[in-house]
Amino acid sequence: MSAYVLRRLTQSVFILLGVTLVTFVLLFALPADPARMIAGRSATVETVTRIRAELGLDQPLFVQYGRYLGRLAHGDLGRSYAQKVEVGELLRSRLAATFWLMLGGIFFELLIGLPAGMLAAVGRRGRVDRSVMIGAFLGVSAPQFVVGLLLLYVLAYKWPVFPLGGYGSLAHLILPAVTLGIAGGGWYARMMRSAMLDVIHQDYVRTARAKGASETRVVVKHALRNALLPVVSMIGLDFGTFMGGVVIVESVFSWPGIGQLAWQAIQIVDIPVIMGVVLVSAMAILFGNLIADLVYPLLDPKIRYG
Amino acid sequence: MAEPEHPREVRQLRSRWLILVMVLALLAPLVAPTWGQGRATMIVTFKDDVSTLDPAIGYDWQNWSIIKSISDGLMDYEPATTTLTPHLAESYTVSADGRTYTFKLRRGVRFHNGREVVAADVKYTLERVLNPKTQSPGAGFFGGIKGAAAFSEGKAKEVTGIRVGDKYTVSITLDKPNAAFLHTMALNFSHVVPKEEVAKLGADFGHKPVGTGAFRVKEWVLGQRLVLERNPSYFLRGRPYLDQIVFQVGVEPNVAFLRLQRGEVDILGDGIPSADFVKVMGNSKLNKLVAVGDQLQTGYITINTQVEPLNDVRIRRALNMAIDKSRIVRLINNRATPANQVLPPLMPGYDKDYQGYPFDREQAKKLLAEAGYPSGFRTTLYANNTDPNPRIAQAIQQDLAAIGVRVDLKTLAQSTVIEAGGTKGGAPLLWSGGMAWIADYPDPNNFYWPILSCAALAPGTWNWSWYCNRDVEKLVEQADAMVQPTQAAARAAKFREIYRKVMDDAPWIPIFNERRYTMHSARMGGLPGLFVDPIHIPVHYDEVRILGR
Amino acid sequence: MGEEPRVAWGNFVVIPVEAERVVKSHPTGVHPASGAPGPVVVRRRPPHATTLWSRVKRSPAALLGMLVVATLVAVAVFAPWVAPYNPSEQFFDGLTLEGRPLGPNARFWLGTDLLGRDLLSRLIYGARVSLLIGVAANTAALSIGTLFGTMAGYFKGWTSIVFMRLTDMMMAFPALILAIALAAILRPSLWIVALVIGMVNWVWIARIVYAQVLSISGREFIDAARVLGVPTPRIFWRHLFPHLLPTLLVWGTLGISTTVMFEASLSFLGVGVRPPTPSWGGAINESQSYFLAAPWLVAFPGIAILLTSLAFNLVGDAMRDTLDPTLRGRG
Repeated sequence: MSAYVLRRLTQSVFILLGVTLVTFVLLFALPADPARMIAGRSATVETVTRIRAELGLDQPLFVQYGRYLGRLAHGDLGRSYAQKVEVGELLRSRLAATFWLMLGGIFFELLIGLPAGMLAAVGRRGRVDRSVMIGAFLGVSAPQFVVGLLLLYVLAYKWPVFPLGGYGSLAHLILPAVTLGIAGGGWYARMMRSAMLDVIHQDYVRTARAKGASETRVVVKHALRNALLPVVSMIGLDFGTFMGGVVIVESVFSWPGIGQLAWQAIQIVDIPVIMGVVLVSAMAILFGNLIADLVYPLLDPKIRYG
Repeated sequence: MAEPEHPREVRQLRSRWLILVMVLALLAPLVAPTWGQGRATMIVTFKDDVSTLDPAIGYDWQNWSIIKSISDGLMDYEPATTTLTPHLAESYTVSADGRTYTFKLRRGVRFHNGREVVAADVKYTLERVLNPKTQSPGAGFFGGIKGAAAFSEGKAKEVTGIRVGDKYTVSITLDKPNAAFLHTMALNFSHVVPKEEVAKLGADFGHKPVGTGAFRVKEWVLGQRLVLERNPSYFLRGRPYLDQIVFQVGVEPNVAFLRLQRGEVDILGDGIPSADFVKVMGNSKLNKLVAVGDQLQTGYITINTQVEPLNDVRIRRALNMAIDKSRIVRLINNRATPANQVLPPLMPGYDKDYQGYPFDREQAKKLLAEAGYPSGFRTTLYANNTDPNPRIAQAIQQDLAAIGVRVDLKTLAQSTVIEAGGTKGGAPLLWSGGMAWIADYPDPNNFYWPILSCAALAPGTWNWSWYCNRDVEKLVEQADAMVQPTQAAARAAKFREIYRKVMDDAPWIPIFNERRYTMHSARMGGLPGLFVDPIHIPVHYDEVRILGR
Repeated sequence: MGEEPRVAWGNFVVIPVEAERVVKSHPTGVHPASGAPGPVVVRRRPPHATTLWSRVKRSPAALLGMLVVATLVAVAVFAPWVAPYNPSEQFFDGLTLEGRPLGPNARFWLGTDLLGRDLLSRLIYGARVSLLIGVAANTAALSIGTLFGTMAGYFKGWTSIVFMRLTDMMMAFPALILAIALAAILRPSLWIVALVIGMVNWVWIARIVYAQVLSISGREFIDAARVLGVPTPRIFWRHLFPHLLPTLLVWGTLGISTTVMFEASLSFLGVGVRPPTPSWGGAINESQSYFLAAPWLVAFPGIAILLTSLAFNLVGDAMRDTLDPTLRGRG
């Protein structure tokens, strides 16, 4: 297994290199000039030219990319064009908040989605199944901005149960995490339901039933194990996507996560910050997928990596 | 109650206490003390993070006024007005030929690190801005100082036009007289900074700025808040009134509005959210909390004079007559007044009597036919994609369609639109909303040189009309030479003439002048004008106070 | 002979037989009821006469779903005849004097939007964009993702590594920046939106399918098919696919909502439909912050998206029942 992990980590390094290269090229294909954005509107042509030279933006693409990689090897992510603060510091200031929101979001997705999915599978085609289905579609279709604002309005403004956004305690985390949970819980519920149904009607379950095991134990032991497989996949995916930032929820709840940083950076073409966020996000995605892949054999012993 | 004997009951009891403690911990922040209890603290919300507080670099509307509270320049404006007044300078004189300004500094003004400000600091500050290594957006403003160009190109070790006399005297000589020069001495870029702190902090100076201002930085948590505290040795006695200002960043305007209503916030830095604007202004309790004022701003459509068929002045005039400006103003809930000329009403040189182009579709169609396009033509309009600009762009699209001009809309990210505008032949029509011109200083030439002059034409220009009229340029140069205070009225008249000529050429369609609406909490005090100060946006931090403190 | 215990495994029927009647046998067969080892014949079940239509006819829910889908498609196709007004016309009296939109009234049944345009007409025309994107782009993403996930999960060795790492790379890649770059370079159109969505959304389903294929590949009946010499594409289609179908249906239906909203984000960045072309996601996007002041601007497009995905879900459930033989004869 450790050989597998080592192989995956090596592959990840190559993937990260590829992602940084493609992003770099894309950013330079963008019809926006960071030097001009920094120089502002009253700048003369000379000012813009000098700024461009200072930032090294007048060099050919491969020279700039080479310099970037060289600095990256020393752990230097550069400085933000707009804020002149080190990118590493900017990312660090937002990492903890992003991490907690990721945990909270996944927690509520599972809390809402898994029991709902199980109930729907057991009560197949009944009223419970239908209501869970409608609830799932409603949660997924509702725009996150609206859900978040509504939760804030009702649970923080009209009745001050929670704070009106912000960051600093568990109380601040609940509403944004619930918003993510509502948006994603429907996926977990539906996947849980369909994966369990697939197995409930598998014949080895029927066999087990014929042997006399009680209905509940049949459902829980056999069906759940199989249903956890796609659930674990989705958790791995959510880890990656949430760590890359969820800008809408962060904006509504004034949550200082990476998503807001990325969005602002893209507006003003702050290349060092954009590269930094892309790097962090890519690492999180690769990590999430790796962990999921390592968990699969635990759930289904027949899975082996060649 | 009976003593629990069974271990399971003990565990249940303990877990219940645990739950109680956890619930209390969850709720604790709600009863925690609010910021700055016992001190006069004002809380301002912003959506975007504060970028930098280095006066040489900071150039967005958000950090502009914060920097004004941390550092000072030789000149400043009287609060809530556009009247220049000496600030760090005690007095100044202008030479007879209008090219040399001699400033006498106030004595005893100290930086936040305790050192007294001297004339050498002024020279250091200006040379720092002109130094390409600083990457200052404001270098262009001081390009008219003698020796500045040589210094910026690295051919000279100092700017010869800036001379330090005695400890408190500095004189600046220009290449040509510039009537707006004193305004540039009030810009943030000229705010005096101490050499030793810049050397010590390097690039982090923007994060830990040191100046002479009424406030200094107490705490800055990236992405969350910036806290300023009162400078007890500020040179203006009795200012500032507040002890502390907390800028909460990352706050969505809709949520900021909810917080204001709950009394958790004092100033809505980004303004009243448009969804709630009508409700607020219609509610007698709420509209008392709103200060209204004018800005030095004009929103306009630029018409690219280099693109067919817009290079024909008749077509440009026709476009001017096709837009229903009052309908567009209604789209933004009447937060603006329709504009008919380049300058905003607050600006000296504004022509009250100028009528501009009337809204007349028939006349417009006639002009189109005269120019050879009786059935109209097809063109492209660029606009910023943040609300309300796509809506305004669509309204413009419908108005132009009514005279036969079929417009393709491109609503893109701001940086892309700016790039398209700065490319020759890139953007035939461009709605400037979200990027509209707000004057750097309250002088009419600021609306000409960066955005309408021949001198500004180069790739990346902000003169998105690519407009160049040499005669008009000469007139502006003449107006700028009218340096003496006695010539002020004549200068204003000259600018009225200049902008009339510009409107005759119709490189723009002026649409509206936005008004400022600043909503504040009930406990904020101070003249309403301070909350819509045309220079200090959104409010004049040094001058506002909290009632009862 | 009497009733032989027959057991269904996917599309196979396992019939235990007397030793003398063995023609082809699975060497490691297990009696499905008793669990005792013994010769069995694995034979393909004769195709059932059930079709999708007969399945749908029996279920009122599926019928409703089909009806809604058909109505939506008809509305989209015949929009110019169905819509009461021109969707792009900004009515002067479509806004109050202070510029506020009107709620549902006699003249504008669903109210007006922030430019004074009739919301009902915009939703009707918006069906064209949103149905096309929601269904077509989503299906494209689904197909590519299923292919990648199956290839990676079924085959071992280099095939698996290449496919999965390609998937990882696409996932790690910043799609937003690609979208902005495309927006500026290319002439915006619906096909670019479909392309970007197709390029971006398939990675999620690829990971899910990968995990499931890994698991299914280990089961006995796949070994059975392999040993019997069933060609690989047939294994994919007849044996893997029915077990993937439930997952694909979940993604195919829930994914419609997320794809429609994604289109709105892309249009916001300038990649997709240009204003004033209406789309459901776009209608929500431009009026989100007015939710508390003018809820109908968000509610009606949201309901449209919800109805569409629910309708496809009902039809999809019926489709799945048809193709899953173990559910035949069940409610």
